Amino acid sequence: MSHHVLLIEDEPNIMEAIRFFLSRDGWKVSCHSDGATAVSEVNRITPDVVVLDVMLPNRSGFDVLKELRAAPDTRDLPVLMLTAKGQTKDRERAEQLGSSGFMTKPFSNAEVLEKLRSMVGHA
Amino acid sequence: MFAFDILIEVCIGYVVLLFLVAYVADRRARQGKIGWLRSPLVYTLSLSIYCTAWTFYGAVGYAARSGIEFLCIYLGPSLVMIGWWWGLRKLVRIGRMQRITSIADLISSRYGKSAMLGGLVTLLAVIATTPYIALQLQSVTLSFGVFAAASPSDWPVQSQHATAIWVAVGLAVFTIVFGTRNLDANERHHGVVMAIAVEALVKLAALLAVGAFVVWGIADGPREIIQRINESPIAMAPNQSSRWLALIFLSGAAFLCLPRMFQVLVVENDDEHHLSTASWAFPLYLALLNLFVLPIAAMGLAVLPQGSNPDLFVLTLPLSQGQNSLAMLVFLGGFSSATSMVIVASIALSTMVSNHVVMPLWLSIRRQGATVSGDVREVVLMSRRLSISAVLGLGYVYYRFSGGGEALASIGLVSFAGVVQVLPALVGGVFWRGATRVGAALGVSVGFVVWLYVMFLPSFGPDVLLSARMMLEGPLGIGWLRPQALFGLHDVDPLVHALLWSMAFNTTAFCIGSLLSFPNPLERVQGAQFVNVFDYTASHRGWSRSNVDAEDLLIMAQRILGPSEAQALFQAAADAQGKQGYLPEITPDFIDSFERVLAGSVGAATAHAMIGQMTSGSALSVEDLMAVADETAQIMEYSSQLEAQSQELSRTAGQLRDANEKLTALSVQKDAFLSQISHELRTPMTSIRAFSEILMLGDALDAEEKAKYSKIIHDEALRLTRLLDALLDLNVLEHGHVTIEQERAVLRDVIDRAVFATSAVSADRVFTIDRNEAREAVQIYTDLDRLSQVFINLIANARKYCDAPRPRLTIRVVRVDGGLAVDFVDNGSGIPAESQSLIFEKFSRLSDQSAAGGAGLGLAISREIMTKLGGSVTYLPGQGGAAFRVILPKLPMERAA
Amino acid sequence: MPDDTKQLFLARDTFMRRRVIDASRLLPLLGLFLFLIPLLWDDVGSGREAFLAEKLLYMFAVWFSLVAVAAVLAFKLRPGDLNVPRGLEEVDREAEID
Repeated sequence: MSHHVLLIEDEPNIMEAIRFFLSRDGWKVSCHSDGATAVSEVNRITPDVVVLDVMLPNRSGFDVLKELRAAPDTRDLPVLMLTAKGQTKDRERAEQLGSSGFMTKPFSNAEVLEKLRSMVGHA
Repeated sequence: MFAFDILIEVCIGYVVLLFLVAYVADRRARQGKIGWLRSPLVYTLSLSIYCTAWTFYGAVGYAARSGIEFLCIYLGPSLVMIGWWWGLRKLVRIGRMQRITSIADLISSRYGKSAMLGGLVTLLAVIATTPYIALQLQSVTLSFGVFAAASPSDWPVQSQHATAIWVAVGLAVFTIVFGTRNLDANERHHGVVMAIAVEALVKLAALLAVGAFVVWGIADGPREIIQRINESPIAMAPNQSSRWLALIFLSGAAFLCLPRMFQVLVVENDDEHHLSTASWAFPLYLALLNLFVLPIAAMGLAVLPQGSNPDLFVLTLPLSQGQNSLAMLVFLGGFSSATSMVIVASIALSTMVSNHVVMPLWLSIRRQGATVSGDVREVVLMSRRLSISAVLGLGYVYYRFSGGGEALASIGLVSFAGVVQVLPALVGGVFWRGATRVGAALGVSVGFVVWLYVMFLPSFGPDVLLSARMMLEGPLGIGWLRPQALFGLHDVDPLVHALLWSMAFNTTAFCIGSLLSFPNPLERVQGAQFVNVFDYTASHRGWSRSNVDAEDLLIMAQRILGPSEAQALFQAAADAQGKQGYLPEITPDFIDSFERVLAGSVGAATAHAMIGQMTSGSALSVEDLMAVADETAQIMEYSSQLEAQSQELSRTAGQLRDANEKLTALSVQKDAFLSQISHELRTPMTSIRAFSEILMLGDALDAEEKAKYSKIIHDEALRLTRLLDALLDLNVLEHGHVTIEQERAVLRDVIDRAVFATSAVSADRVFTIDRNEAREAVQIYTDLDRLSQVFINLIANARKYCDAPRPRLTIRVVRVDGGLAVDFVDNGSGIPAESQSLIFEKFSRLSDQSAAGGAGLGLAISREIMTKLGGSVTYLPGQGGAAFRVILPKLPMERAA
Repeated sequence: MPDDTKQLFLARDTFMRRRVIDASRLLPLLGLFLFLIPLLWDDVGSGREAFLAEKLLYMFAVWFSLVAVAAVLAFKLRPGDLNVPRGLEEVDREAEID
């Protein structure tokens, strides 16, 4: 059974790369690029896991995560945060808000894949 | 005798010449080439509007009727000018300090910026001046008549009223064109003053020419003239001491109080030093003008037939001797005298009417205040234009109504006596701190009423406005209330009688009113500022009014003063506070000086009301004013040194505060910088790494995918390079030596190039660019690549960030301080005031929502470039959108087209 | 604006300048007095031959003398006390090109 992942990322090239290697691995991939409507998109397509960029247009990824964690339906949804700022305080913030994983750009494709697999309990 | 047509042609030619003079002077003034336009000589000559047609024609008539007495009318002003150290100097200084626009404004401003007093003085001035304007129209009409009567009948003797109408219309046009061309911050009219100076010379030349002709042409030289004078009936005219004294006083006082004289003496004064020249030059002018009056009168009485009108001797004497060209010169002289008086009088009156009647009414109708209202500037200009037409219209109506007969001839002195009713309030206001608004209002209105009753109304003759019975027996038969023999004073000359009573009642009411009333705080402040103008120039400070936004003030200022003046004013004020940019700190000092500048355009009372509405949303409270008064009293005791020191201190404090704010902001930015640069570098690197890994897998990729992903890697690598280039560029600009390759080019081409280069930015949006290519056709000499880099950056920013639904960018070329600048103004929501000082810093992109764009280095680079080129780029607040001004390096340049 | 440097610079001059200022204050009073003198003549010479022209000459003589004295005083004062405060109106103008 294929897992469903929602990519929330505003850089089209990065989105394309992740989409490519995830689909190649057999994932079902949905994409979204706006921060403001991200939460409703999650609720609409109910993915198994979310990849969330921190710097999004209109609303920060942290705020999106915070709202997801506050709602009962998405409280336990696995979320992998991506950031290009790479400061430790961002990582701390992500953990404090309850992200399931955190990766700094530029990342290794294999690592992302690994992380996502482990997050959905995929061997 | 020449044809009447020639007269008309010469007349029109002369008017055209005046138009030219005024036009050229105005133009030079606007180009900043004031130079000789404002020499003491021009100032002195402009004062000659004291000598109207009443002088030009009437002085000889007066002399023929009453002998040497006519001289008194010129002795008064001469003594006032010679005694300038007593009063005029102070008036002029006050006028400059307080930006006084008219005599009504002076009175209103002195007595607590009272709108009521301003209106009262305006009413008085209009009533007293209207007949005088009628008198000028009459004199021009009469002089036309002399020619018409003497000329062959090819010119139908049209009704004289037609002449008067045309003269009035022509004057209105001239005055509107040159008098209301601009709402000058200081209400000066270079063109008009220059034209008047020319007219002054024509007047003098004409009278001197006639005089010389009489003495050496008709008579045999001075000896014969002396004999003629002593033999003429004039020599028998009795001298009345009381009249003599009264006339000197009246003319001297009127010289100060006449609205037109106040206009040229005080308002148009550009430099106090001119006063010291005029102090002797103007009496000299008057003496020369009057030198031949008595000889002409005596000769006229001897040579011309019995019953000739002595008021026209100046004209008829040369005509009777066949001296046509001389007569023509005389005609022009008389025409000059009449027109210059009417022009200045109507400018002065229209300023008063618009500032003290129309504007207060307009402001009170628009309750929501000056902030939200439309273009105040247009309203003011329009009301002035209408006022000018109305004033001249009134003059014409008066001329028709009075029948243009002999009654008019005596109106000169009546008019003088009317305006002189302002004198006690004026002198008291300038020399006596205890003078109050109540006193001034009482004095002026009592004097006004008495003057109306004992002089103005009777001047129309019995049974016109006052019944003959009433004039003879007094109202209701009360003898001691007879208009011309008030309280039984019937053996006195009517002029002396009227002057005595009106001034006596006026002054008494003024003093009693002042003694019994208590001035409000604002009156006290103004009183102190007026009376002590020489040793105390700083105004109230140290108290702060409720918060008002500098940008709001700037927006209002732009409406009233015009954008460029307002911006220059605000920038200068910010400079003085040691701040950069266009928005000064809103200190009480700044508000004060700003109010004074506004007063220069709309009058003190109106400006005060506007500022009041802006600063506190309503009129000032009594507490506010008490604070002002108390602070002022303290400050007046400061020594001059303390004052200078405290100014220096507050300036330094301002600079420190600024620097501190900037440092704090910069340190926050430094943190943001690291995080920003990390983000900007990592984003392209992420794509590059991810796709490289994909390509490295090698399997299952078709050729198309391979090509696509390679291209992405390539593009992102370029993006990285661009970013690094920009960083390096900036670093070099900031720290290294940059070679600047200067070339000559047309500004338009550089802008063209920049507009073209940016056409791909946000190309999906419809984006309009307004340009005025004709104005862009100027030569520049600078590093064109660098300059277009700046333009490209500004245009691209507008394309990217302008958030208006229909984005539009206006590129306009303006002149600044004699150099060129290019403004880029878009119609978006602009940049908030608190960010305006930061946008030129590195990575200061205001929000991250358009992260696809540059890294926020563009403006920082642009600023560095402009500094290197010797120009600057600044943010221009208050334009309704984001606006940047690029000041081009100053270099010799000329038009290309 | 109090301009103490100027005051100091002119300090030696002050005495002289004060006298000039006093003179310019007194001049109009003197002028008025001289202009009023002809009023007295009429009463004195009651059985006179007309002498209007002489009176006229007297008036203009006084007038031109006053002008001359005022001119001298004005030139003496010129560099003196008239330090004009330069206020906001000295701001450079800018105008659109036309």
